[in-house]
Amino acid sequence: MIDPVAFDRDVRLTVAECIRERGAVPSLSELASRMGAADADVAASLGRLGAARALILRPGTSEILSFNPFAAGPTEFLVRAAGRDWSALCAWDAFGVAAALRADGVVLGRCADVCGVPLEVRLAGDAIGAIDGVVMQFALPAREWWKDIVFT
Amino acid sequence: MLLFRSEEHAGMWRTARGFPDARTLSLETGWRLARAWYARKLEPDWRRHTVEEAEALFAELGLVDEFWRLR
Repeated sequence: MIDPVAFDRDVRLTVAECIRERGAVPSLSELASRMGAADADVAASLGRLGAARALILRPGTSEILSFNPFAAGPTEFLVRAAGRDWSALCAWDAFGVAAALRADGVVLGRCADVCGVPLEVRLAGDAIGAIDGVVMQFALPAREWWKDIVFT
Repeated sequence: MLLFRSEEHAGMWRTARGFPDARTLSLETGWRLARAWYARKLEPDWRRHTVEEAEALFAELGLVDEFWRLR
């Protein structure tokens, strides 16, 4: 009989281990293989972790879309940090990748307005390097973020 | 959360997309927020911030009006 609390912690730590070791968010099958666990048990755990907002699942699947701030696939935000390239779902998460890795980083994105001009933000300790005037914008108030977290 | 080249471009996006109450943050504040929010995400003892902790964090960064309330 699986203890869901302990098992969910193991799943979370295995995701983190994959991110640290090979710079990628694992698939369901990789997680199950690494843990020596059944796909169904890992899928159930991922569902619980998603409900607990520890991660975001691809809609209708048991695959991780983002172990926030680390996105599983290419996005509009590329982060160069700790010798690897990473993806993030939003600007906050892009900054969060460097924060979680405790590394300096470079965020490559675009102005979200119609101009789409490429933007580069350098994060180094307390210092920020970017062209003057660049800002981050939150469209929705904080209490609405998780109503549609992918949009947020 | 998106990046904009300037407050002017952020404002044009707000108007065009119908988010009149959207808020901008300086990159410095965004970086402080990201570090406070995500620094422990890969650590064994990570846990989600409680609502109280999240609101306290926002307040530390001067994010105190209705937009940043979680309840």
